[in-house]
Amino acid sequence: MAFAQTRRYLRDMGLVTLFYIASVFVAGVVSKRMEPGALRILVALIPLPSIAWMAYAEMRRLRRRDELRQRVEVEAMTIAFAVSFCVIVMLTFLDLFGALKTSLPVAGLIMAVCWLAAQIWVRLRYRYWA
Amino acid sequence: MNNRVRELRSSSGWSQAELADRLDVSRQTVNAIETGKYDPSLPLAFAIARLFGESIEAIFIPGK
Repeated sequence: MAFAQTRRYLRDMGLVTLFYIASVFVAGVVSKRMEPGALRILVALIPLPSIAWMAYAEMRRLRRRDELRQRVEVEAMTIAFAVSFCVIVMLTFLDLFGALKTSLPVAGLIMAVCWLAAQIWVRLRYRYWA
Repeated sequence: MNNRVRELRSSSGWSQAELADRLDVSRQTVNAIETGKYDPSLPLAFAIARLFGESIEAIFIPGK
């Protein structure tokens, strides 16, 4: 059961990941050669549908999981959202008040790291301490 | 909540993986239920009770 689910998930995510990489490449190359304006914004947003597709694939994966794994995922996402939100708000204030210069792309990285750390934490908790 | 899932599974001669297959859940879920780290949902508790031919109250005992 788990192997079939993993294969299905990889099939779902593999295609969209390739599409995402291709769209980021195309958007990056094309938009840099364009004059600033609405069309350039549209081109820069080309990767957006593949990100939405990834989110949909992730939701489908979550729905296929059994109840304990769903709980683990939801708890991990809740913790990750709370922690990453606090960190991003803190960095925003530091940036606003000139204490530390940060860039917007770091927010995605913070969210990803928090999500991974929360996944590990919640899984270990249910395995050893819950 | 305490439960007799491990005892019933052992007496049926099933591994955790076999029980997980019969209940359509992961082996980790069976392990978490057996060790008391996770209390199953009502539908899963009914499925466990049905599988072992016992009532829910005979398998899941309110405790801690």
